[in-house]
Amino acid sequence: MSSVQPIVARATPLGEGAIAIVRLSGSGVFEITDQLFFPDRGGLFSTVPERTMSIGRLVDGDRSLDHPLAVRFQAPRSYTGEDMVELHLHGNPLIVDSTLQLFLRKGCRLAEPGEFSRRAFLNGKMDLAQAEGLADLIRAESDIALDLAQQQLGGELSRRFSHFRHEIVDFLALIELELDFVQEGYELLDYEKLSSTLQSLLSDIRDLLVSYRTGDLLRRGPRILLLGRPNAGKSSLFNAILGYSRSLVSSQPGTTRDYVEERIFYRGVVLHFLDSAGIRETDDDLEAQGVSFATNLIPLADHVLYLIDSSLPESTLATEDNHFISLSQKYSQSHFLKVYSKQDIGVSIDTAHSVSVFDRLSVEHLLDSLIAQYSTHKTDSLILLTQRQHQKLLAIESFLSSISNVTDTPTELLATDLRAILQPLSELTGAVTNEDILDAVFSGFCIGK
Amino acid sequence: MVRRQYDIIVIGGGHAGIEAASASARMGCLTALITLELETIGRLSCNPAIGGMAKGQLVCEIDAMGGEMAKIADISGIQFKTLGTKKGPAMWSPRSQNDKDLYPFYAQQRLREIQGLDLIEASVEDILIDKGVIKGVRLEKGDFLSCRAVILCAGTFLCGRMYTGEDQTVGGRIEERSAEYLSGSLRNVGFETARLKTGTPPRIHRDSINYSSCEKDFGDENPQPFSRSSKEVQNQIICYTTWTNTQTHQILEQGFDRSPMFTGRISGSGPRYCPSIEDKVFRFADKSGHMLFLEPEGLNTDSVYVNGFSTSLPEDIQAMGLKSIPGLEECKIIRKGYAVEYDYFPPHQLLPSLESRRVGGLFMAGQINGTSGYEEAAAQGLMAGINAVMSFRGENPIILDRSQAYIGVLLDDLSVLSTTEPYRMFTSRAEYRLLLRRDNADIRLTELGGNLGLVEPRQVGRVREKMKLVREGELLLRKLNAQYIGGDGTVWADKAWTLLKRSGVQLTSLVFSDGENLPDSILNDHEVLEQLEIASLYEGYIDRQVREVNQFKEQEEKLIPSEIDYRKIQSLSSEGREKLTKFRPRSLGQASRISGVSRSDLSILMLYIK
Ligand SMILES: Cc1cc2nc3c(=O)[nH]c(=O)nc-3n(C[C@H](O)[C@H](O)[C@H](O)COP(=O)(O)OP(=O)(O)OC[C@H]3O[C@@H](n4cnc5c(N)ncnc54)[C@H](O)[C@@H]3O)c2cc1C
Ligand SMILES: Nc1nc2c(ncn2[C@@H]2O[C@H](COP(=O)(O)OP(=O)(O)OP(=O)(O)O)[C@@H](O)[C@H]2O)c(=O)[nH]1
Ligand SMILES: [Mg+2]
Repeated sequence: MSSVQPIVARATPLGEGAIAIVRLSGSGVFEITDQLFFPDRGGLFSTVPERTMSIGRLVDGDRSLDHPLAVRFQAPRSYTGEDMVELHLHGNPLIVDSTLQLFLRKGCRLAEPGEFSRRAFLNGKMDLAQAEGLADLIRAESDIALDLAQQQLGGELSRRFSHFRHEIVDFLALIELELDFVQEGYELLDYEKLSSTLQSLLSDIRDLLVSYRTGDLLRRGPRILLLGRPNAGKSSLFNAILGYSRSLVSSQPGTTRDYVEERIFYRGVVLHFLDSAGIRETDDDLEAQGVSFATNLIPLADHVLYLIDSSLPESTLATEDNHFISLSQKYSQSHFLKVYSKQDIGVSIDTAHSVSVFDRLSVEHLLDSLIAQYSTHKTDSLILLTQRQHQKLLAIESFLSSISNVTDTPTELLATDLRAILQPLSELTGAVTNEDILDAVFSGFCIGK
Repeated sequence: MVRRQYDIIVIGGGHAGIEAASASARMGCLTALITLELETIGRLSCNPAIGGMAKGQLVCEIDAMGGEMAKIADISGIQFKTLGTKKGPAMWSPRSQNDKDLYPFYAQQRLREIQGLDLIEASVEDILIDKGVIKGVRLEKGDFLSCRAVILCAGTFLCGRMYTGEDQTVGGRIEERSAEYLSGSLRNVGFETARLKTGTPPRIHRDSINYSSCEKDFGDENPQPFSRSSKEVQNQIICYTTWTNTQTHQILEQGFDRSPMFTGRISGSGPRYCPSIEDKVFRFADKSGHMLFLEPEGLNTDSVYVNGFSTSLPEDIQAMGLKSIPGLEECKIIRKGYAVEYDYFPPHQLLPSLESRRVGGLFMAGQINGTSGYEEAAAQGLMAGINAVMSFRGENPIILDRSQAYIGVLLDDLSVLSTTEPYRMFTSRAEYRLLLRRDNADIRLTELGGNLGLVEPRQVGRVREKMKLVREGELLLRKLNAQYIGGDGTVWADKAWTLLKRSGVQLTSLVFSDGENLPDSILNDHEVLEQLEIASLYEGYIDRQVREVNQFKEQEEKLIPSEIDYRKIQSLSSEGREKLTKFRPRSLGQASRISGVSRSDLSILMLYIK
């Protein structure tokens, strides 16, 4: 079979279920999966018998994402007729997202609407009647996307984007005028204005991306990791937050081994809490695994609550402070928060982030301060972006940040850069053709001999 | 000589016809070139100038493929200039002023030397088609010549009408007749035609110009030929520039009510990029002056071309307007300006090979496809000639794509997007223009020209050798350390390749470290040095374009079956369905360039591609 680009998408509906299935199809999906998924029983995934489930670790570099089931389907005995992989992940949107991102980075492309079925049709796995039905489905799906886009067209933000699109087309028209009618000696480009337009486009896009992340976070609920030394009181706090005993608690350090996740609704916001193994150097193999699990969880968490047992001696508290600082510097993307536990028996520390599991109010205080930043966002002011739109914005951002200095860039290269930006931009606002640019040239200037 | 039977017949001896006939005969087909007047073969209808932005690149591509235009332009050229030298190498575009008598002279001389090519003076009245297959052509006196393929290159001559003020005359070019029946007979068998117009400025007597009021415009100090096979070219004339003024504009406005453009007597659309002077005055009323170029039309002629003053205003207004311009106060008009309106065949009726979708073996090239310009015409003529031979041999057509050549952009735009105004090439039409340069036209196309038998093996070998040296040179430059001393005495030291990226740094100004240097074979070859400098300057950008090209090719290779019936695909959007039915794209890539065909239409279309 000729080579077909590998595609990836989630197969189960968006939202939370116990399990989420991610599908891959195309050339090289086994090889890609081999780099990311390691069966527990050893050996390469590509060598396990087809159509059997194997359990294993899904890893991104040195961090472990999940412990999913995976199935291999060898072409042509698959839904699409191509090599396929199915991953049955834990139904956490964050895990699913990270998994998709991971495969995108490894060279897969996000599937178009209906693309799995289309490939099935192409490979003779579906008859024309079924395919016709599918075509309608694609139409419908795209119409929904279109509706969404049009709704957004009404909105302030997309107005700003089509404004940018117009501005860039106009700049490009000036550049093309200068290039294609070189003899006429037009040099009308205002480099300062161009530079400031690109700057403000970049900052708008960055705002939008931040807002996207917040909106996305709100929809799925932020993930909060309880981290700290053994015996810091993590499991006790975890139980106190949930309102029932979910984790084992004991005065024995090293009680929690695996991590435990639960979610609560608190004042209208979904919060996911994770209890983890206390971190320390250990000879115990199982515990060591738990410890590495805990640190691996850090990058996946939106907030990390680092618990410090306030009943410990003063000198230990100082070392804990340092440990906190070094961790929070190492994982700078996550928000770290220092939380003093066992306030009923420890030195009293006067911050909102000091708790005792015997003091319900102190726990609520902590939760309130956590959700404060979310409730200031009104949900309806956040823009809903599809994953595709999000990718386009990222593409524009990366092109924009690669243009260093417009005045030093030769004109024809500047034109190439602007066209590179217009490409994804036009997918957000409507296509720009060569003819559009020429139109802008001819309508604005008297050219030609 | 006139025979009764040919392999291929070319109709029209303009720039398209010349290339078509030459390619067809040199590829071994017995060919006839039939044209209204043998003496006018290769005539430059408008400005005697070849090349310019994007057009110059086209000429170099024609040369790399083994076409004629570059060589004729070089020997008949009287002033040479490379435009765009203030920009980067992708913009460098050669242009020449040519002697209006020498150009056709050499064109005809070259054609006469080609074996298996007969030149015939006649008007073709009808193309005989039987059940969608070409049988031959019928001449005005009823003679019938049989052939297997026809290349129609009739230019501005199909039902040509010329206008000056309120005068209208029949003809395709001044003092030449028109072909009155051919487009009608093709309409009868289902071809769609429409009208376009173009215009030309007055010519004035060179001795009637007061040059002291004008600015001089010289050719390049170091004039460069178009063709890789031409030796030296020389500048032999000086051009001049002057400006119109508000008084000129007022005079011209007085003639508007007698202008065929404003009275609506011409309905065809004209080129927006080459507007008539009345158009400029009307549309850009706030501009107080327009630049004019005074270009001698040759060495042995009194005629000077007033570039920028294309007009179909009444002759008295033309004269009065000119006289208000500095330097032209006493000017004498030798030939008035006029507009010509003609039939063209909207080119979506063609395949990208320039073969008609409707009639196998019928090819069309040049102005009749809605383009304007000698270079655009020649490029099409060459490809139509090549592909008529391929079709004669029963082989697959040669199709250059948008990433290979401006020629590819031209044919793709025509056959996929069609055109409703005269189409001219611009560099901005080429998405991969950093790759489509004049300096590498030979690298891109000579091998192909050689395979077709149009380029001499010696030249093919030379290009291969050059490419080898470029590869070697690049490896060395990436390895060797060098220094560059800037104008202010600053010394830059780095890998030679990196130093070359600084703008203005030339390879020959680098000082290599440790006594190393490039081999003489590279140092002595200025074409190789140029390739190396450009490759390092554009590195990164070129990589990006190459990546884009690969994605682009993936889409181009997804072919749409020609028998597909879009009306039966219910789920297509109605606009998408209509456009797809009209333009019948060959590939998914082409479909994606048609406006009105949406992303989801493309997804749906993919279902039907196997
Ligand atoms: C007045 C005028 C102004 C122009 N202005 C511009 C301009 O401003 N800018 C620009 O870029 N280009 C301009 N051009 C266009 C340029 O001249 C053409 O693009 C170019 O010459 C087209 O080449 P061609 O080979 O298609 O046709 P042409 O050069 O027009 O040649 C057509 C040939 O076909 C022959 N022929 C036609 N019908 C028949 C028949 N039935 N039987 C036998 N022979 C036939 C004719 O004798 C003629 O030799 C102008 C042309 C004219 C006439
Ligand atoms: N007085 C008091 N004791 C607490 C509080 N929180 C936890 N403890 C006690 O501290 C001990 C350790 O508590 P855990 O919750 O198991 O600690 P952990 O951080 O989960 O420990 P590991 O799982 O071993 O890492 C237990 O004996 C708890 O009863 C508190 O707020 N006040
Ligand atoms: Mg615990």
